Formats: sequence, C-alpha cells, structure tokens
Amino acid sequence: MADRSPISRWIFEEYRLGENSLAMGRILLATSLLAFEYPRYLWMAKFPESFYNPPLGLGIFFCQQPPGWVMWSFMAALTVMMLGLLVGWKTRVMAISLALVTLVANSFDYSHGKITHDILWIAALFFVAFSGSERRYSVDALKRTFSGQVPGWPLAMLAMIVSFGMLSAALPKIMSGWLAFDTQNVRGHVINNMFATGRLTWLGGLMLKYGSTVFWEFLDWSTIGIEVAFVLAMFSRKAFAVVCALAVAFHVGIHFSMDIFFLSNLIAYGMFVEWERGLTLGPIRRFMAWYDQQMKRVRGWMLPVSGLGLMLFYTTKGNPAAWLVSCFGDGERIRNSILAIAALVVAATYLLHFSRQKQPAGQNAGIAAQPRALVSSRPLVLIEKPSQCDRKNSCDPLAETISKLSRGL
Amino acid sequence: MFKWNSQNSERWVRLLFATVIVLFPFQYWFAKCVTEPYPALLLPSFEGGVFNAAGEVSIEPADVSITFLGGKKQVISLRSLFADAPSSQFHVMAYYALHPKPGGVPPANLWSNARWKRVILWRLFSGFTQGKIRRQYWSGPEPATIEWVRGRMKDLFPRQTVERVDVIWYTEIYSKHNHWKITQRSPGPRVEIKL
Repeated sequence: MADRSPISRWIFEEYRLGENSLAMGRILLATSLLAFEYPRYLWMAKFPESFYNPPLGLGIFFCQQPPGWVMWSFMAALTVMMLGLLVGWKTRVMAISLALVTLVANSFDYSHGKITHDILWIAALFFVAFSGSERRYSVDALKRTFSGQVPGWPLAMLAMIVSFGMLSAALPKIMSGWLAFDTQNVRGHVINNMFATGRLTWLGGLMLKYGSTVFWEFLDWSTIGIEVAFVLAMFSRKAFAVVCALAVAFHVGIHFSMDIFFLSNLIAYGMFVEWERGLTLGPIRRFMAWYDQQMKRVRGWMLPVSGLGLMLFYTTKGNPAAWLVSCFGDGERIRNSILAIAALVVAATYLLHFSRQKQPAGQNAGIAAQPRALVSSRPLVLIEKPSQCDRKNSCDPLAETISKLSRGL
Repeated sequence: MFKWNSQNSERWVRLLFATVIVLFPFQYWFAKCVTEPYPALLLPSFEGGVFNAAGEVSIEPADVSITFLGGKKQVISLRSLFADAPSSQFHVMAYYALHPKPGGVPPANLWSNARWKRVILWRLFSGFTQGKIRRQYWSGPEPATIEWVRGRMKDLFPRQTVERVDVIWYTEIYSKHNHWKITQRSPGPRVEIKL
C-alpha cells in the first residue's frame, strides 16, 4: 500500500486500532450508556402537548409527542439492543438500529425547546458498526471467522466528525467575542448557569469568588484552543488522542463548575483509546478472559428477557448507578462525578505514559524535529519515493530527501 | 455491471468523507442563519452575549409563588415545579409554556388566508406550526398547561388546596463592580394561573 496518497493513508490506515481495543471500546460504550445514560424519554409522558415545540426535523410532522407507551417501547427496544451490542450479538445490525432508533426518539425528546447536543455517541455507534469491534469478546466471534485487517476508516471518520463538531462549538465563540480581553465569557456562563438554571456547584462558587480576570480570560482562550485543536490534530491518531485526553480535563472542569456532563464526548473520545494496553494488567486480562468465556453461554432469548428486566428497574427505580449512590445525596451528580474522575484518571495515565515514551536517538531530524509526541508512529508521507527508484537507479535527489525526511528517517 | 470489491468500497468511503466535508459548512450555515435542525453535527456553542452593553451579566430566573386556600403563600423554585423534566430542558420548557412573548395574541391570518397553505401547515407540518406559535405568540397559558400545573400542585401539596399559582420572572444583573454578586433584581412578566 506504499503507493497510496497521504489522504488515503489517513483515511484507511492512520486510525487502525487493534481488534481487542475495538471490542473493549464497544463494551465500554454499551456499559456507559446502560449504566449512565439510560433511562431516557420516559419523562415526556408527564408533560402535556402544550410543551411540544419541535426543531426542524422529524418532530414537525407530529402535533404532540407520542404517548407514554410508545416512548416506553422505544426505551425497551434500545435497552435490548444495547445489551445485544454489549455481548456482540449481530453487532452491526444492533449498532445501526440503536443509532437510528435513538435519532427518532431524540427527535421527540428535543421537541421541548432544547436540543441537547449528544450527536457524538450516535456517531460512535456508526463507528462501532463498521469498525470490526465484533471480532473479539462477542457472540459474533464465536459464530464466524473474520479475515483480513480491521478497517481504519470508521475511526478516521469518527475523528473527523468529532473535530467538525468541536469546530462548530468554537466558531460561534470566536465570532461572538470570546477572544476579546474586556469580556470574560466563561465567567458570564458560570453566573448564568448557577443563578438562572440553578445548577449550583462548589467549584463554580469558588471560581466566582476568587477567580481573577486573567484566570477567566485564560479559560476563554483555552476553551477555544482545545476546541480548535481537534481539527489540527485529526490527521494523526496519536496527536488526536493527546487532544482527547486534554479535552477530558476540559469536560471534567465543566462538570464540576457548571454541572453539565458531556458523556457523549467522553464516549466518543473513548473510542480512540488503545484499551488493549490494559490487558497487560492481570485483573483486566483475567476479567476479559472471563467475559470471553461467558459469550459461549449467551442465547438470543436472553436479550429480551434481561432487557425487559432492566427496563423494569429503569421504570421503577431509575438509573441503576444513580440509584446506588443516591443514599449519599444527588444520585445523578455523584454518578457523573465518579465517571468524570475515572475518565480523568484514564486521560492522565495516557498523557503520563505518552510523555514518558522515549524516542530512539537520531530520530528527530529535519521535518521530524517537530515534537515527536505529536507525530504519529506512521506519519503522513508528503512525497512518496517513486516506485521505479531504487538504490542503483537514483531519481530526483530533492524528492528523495523530502521523502526520507517526511518519513522521519 | 457494478461489482463490489475492495477498490469500489474504498471509492465509496472516499465519497463518504468528501460528502461530510462538503455538507458540514452548509449545515453550519443553515443552523446559524436559518434554524438549527435535528439531527445535525453541532455541539453546544455557549456563544457570547451574556454580557450587556455595560459589561454586566443579565439573567432571567423565575420563582413560583403558590397561594393556598385561606391566603397562606409559599414560594418554590422553577426546578421544583419541573422536577420531572431533565435539568437541561426545564428552563426552556418553562420559558415557552409560562412566559409571555412579545408577539402577543397570534393574528387570525397568521398563515395567510389561502386554504391550501393552511391545510399544509396545520395538517402536514402541525408540529412546526404549533411550535412557531408557542415560540412567538402568547395568549395566556394553554388549558393543557393549566391542567398540568394543577396536577403538579396535587403531587407537591397533597394535603392542601392550592388556589393560585403565579410564575414570576425576574431580571437579575450581576456586575463586576459588586464582585459579581447580584446588584439589581427587577420583576419581569408575571403569569397568573387560577386553579
């Protein structure tokens, strides 16, 4: 594949992860949604049609939200399918169906005045469908054999979607004066969030009390910096992973200061993590081996039965993780804080590991002298050495030199 | 005849990437200049504009004042009234259902007098039409909203009889000259619901 253009290499090769990592990403996605996001949509049944106010989309064809039993059925179907995704049972069908049913149900959910921007985890579902995540730790892996390498393009597509999404958040900020030194917009939003929306947080109060103008201005600039960094980093998987890790700290900061939890972003970033590195740790390796063994016991009928059981729990007690910690206070906030801290630990571990990676001597020369930390192990080659050139028949020396430098040789 | 092979599939994948790259600027423009559709590849923008011309932050919270039989009063937060709604949604829901709009009562010829236009807008795009009226016009809280408030009062105060619920909106101003503490709280629109 040496004759591929840089763009083709980025699309098809740069983001190729190991099968174990992809499968572990799939399991984490399904677990996160079952334990932290669901149940959804059930609240709509408690409000009349006078609250119905849909955005441009599917909702405009209806004069009110569907009755409660329809939303309950949507939620039950999602729960069963998410369990299917968890065990890798008809993975591709499950992931695509999940994404489509979620889009339909969200159309009604967001028909009450506000769109909660969680498009990234729906994009992650499409990535899971095509990435080859069913090749390990799944029922599908027991039923059929897979040949060839896993495709790299689904993760490259997800990287591009995340980057464009973050750019769509950065552009309005830039155009509405976030970079002006005389206004501190983060401070304004923290005030608005605490006093108009009533999301009081300890950290937000502390920031308002002690934060200097320089501190708030730094937050304005760094917010835009991290959002724009995604687009700049998306051509290198390692650089992108570093930006994702930094963005986790950004989202955790928002959670603790404004009580706005971006689970959708965290799930999408999680797809870029090489989770299989965790298999070097004994407990994780043993757990995954045990998980793999359990796949042999899974039967199709178990999914609707366990799904309906879980739905019963969702309907009566709500979210299981929030219910478990609700004895300590606001269950949802505590649950989100635990997940936020866990994500921060993973991100910090990744950054620490990344900063300790040593490069072999002599690698940092020429174009490769840019920080190696931000360059992929398989960097984009600017000029490919023509195939007819070899050591005996030397071609254009300039092209050859650039080719070598861009390869980091 | 079209044959599916790896070369073809790569071509389709390239086409998919190109489509996303081309569509993204268009959908961004559409969302910002026309209206935000769902679904769309957009993340929360937290645009500026929370500061007024004097460099102060102006926000619009609301209180819910409840008058019981016999004249006793109690104030609860908007969040308590909308406890069943997600925290990300309740403020906007309250704004559309319980806040007067500058457009006033919707005019009779809102969608022109042409019968076919009215049929298309009310029958085919009924959600869009209803939503536009709720966003721009106001003729008091809708009967379904009043019924919902009545139900909420029964949930919140099962042993008391509620006579009236007032949703009182305020404009609060936070100024840096007062170390970002509240400097002014002026009453705004008030919506009375007699139960």
